[in-house]
Amino acid sequence: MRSFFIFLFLLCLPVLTSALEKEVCFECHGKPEILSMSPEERSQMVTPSEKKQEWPQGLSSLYIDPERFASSSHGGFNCLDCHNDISDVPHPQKLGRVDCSLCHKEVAEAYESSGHPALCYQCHDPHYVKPTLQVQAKIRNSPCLNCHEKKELLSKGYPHCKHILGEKVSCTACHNAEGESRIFLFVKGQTAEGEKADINGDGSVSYEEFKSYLSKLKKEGTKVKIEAELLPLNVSHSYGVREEAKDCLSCHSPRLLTKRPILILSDEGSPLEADPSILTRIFNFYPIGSDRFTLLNLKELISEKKPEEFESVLFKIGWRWLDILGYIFLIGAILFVGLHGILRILTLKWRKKHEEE
Amino acid sequence: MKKREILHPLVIRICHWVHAVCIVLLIFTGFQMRFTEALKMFSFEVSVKVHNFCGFLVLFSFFILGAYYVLTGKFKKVYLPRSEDLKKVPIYANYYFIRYFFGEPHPFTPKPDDKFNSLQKITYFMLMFLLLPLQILTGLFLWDPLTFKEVINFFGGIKVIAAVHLLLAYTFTAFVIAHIYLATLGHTFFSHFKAMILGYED
Repeated sequence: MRSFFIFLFLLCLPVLTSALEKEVCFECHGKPEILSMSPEERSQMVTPSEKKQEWPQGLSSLYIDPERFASSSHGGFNCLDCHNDISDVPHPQKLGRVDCSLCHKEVAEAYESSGHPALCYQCHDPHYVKPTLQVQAKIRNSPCLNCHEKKELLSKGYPHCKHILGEKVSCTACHNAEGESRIFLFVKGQTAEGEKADINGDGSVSYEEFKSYLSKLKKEGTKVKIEAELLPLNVSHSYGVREEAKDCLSCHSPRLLTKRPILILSDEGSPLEADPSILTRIFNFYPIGSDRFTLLNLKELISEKKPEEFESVLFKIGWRWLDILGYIFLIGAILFVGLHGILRILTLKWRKKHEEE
Repeated sequence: MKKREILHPLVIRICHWVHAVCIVLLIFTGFQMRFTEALKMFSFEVSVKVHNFCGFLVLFSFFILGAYYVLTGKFKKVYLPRSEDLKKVPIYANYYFIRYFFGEPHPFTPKPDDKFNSLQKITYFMLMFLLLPLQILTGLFLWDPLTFKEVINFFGGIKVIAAVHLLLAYTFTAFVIAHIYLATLGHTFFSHFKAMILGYED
């Protein structure tokens, strides 16, 4: 019911504030010159304010880049949808704090439970926010690293140093009590218009689909850049550590290949789930231990009688030949020691006799 | 009283035992990381920490050992195999595989400046000055793949580096097994062990 009222409120907002479109606001705030004005000059553009309350400095600036704002998650809103204590221009000099919880109630409640003192706009710039799934670790982590400094992370030990300072894992990949983390593949490169990775439109990209998508990109001469990161699917602002994240093996083991990676394509609308085999078959990315030769592989190899099938099993072995070679080394060493040792025991009397002679 | 000849100087003995302990720990923790579900010796976190610590200790110890042999000028005499060493390989192979069982004496007597027979010289030179540095380097790249991104990509990517590291790990494991056994083939069962602790053999 509450969600329905929020929805209704959001639906009515543009009508309520239609009297003052954002273009009017951008007359002043959409021009970078506003930053170089003196406080006296700026005070002439607003009405004197009675409000004396000072709010902590946030990430927002008086200048808002209209283009960046338009492409942000909030780009569809009017300024007054959030800055609802403005009814006309010039507006009062001192404005009230925007209450983000009007829309983001659940996030606000979770965040309050985390005990963090910062206000929403001290971590996020509300004018330039992007859909979470399209934001890479470095940018996701920057609000956290503003307060939790490098020195603090180093003192917290290995996972923080390696994961966070390496900029390939977001803090919320682990500090996300209710969420789930996946490998995100950010594929950067322009495709011809209408070219889709999800060819059959089933919402998932198979190995074949992705392979053909990449080859089309390369044919068109596009320089493809792919960045892989570990990010959460949903972010909880309570920041409790997820139970699964306490176990290193949830990522550093073949278990990682049971989770479907997320593809973020520069010209495809929403994120797409992909077949985990693209990690190994296309990116040559093997979580530790995922390419080892097991007893099951051996049974499969021995039991395969048809020559053509045998080849396909052999192909599946891939990097596992390393273990096969390694086992041969170990068996060789053990056999040498065992056989030499047995012969040594058997010839003990013989040798002693010869030594005495 | 006859003065005992020191075969292994103190610095070399220390380096040897640091290598011994660390390489055994590196093998165990390395296999624990690779065979996560099958082995339950240490947790992943402990394995990583011990592996990294021992890896750096081996790196440090390797430099000390290398510096000792280079600075004292013994490297060429003790480790560097010559063409005649290659020719002598069958003599020593014949001893270890056949003549030993007939109770014949070892065809080589170690001296402080020439303590390895041809077979040992070739094996140790390969292991200590080719394979160990390669293992240390690949380990270093895997320790921080982002810092060494350029070098890793130059050599064909992280999978190639990991493959070399794994293959060498198997090689060192096989070597350790054979090395410990061969160390018992001295004048007495423990004479080589004693030499590596006290520096001299009886």
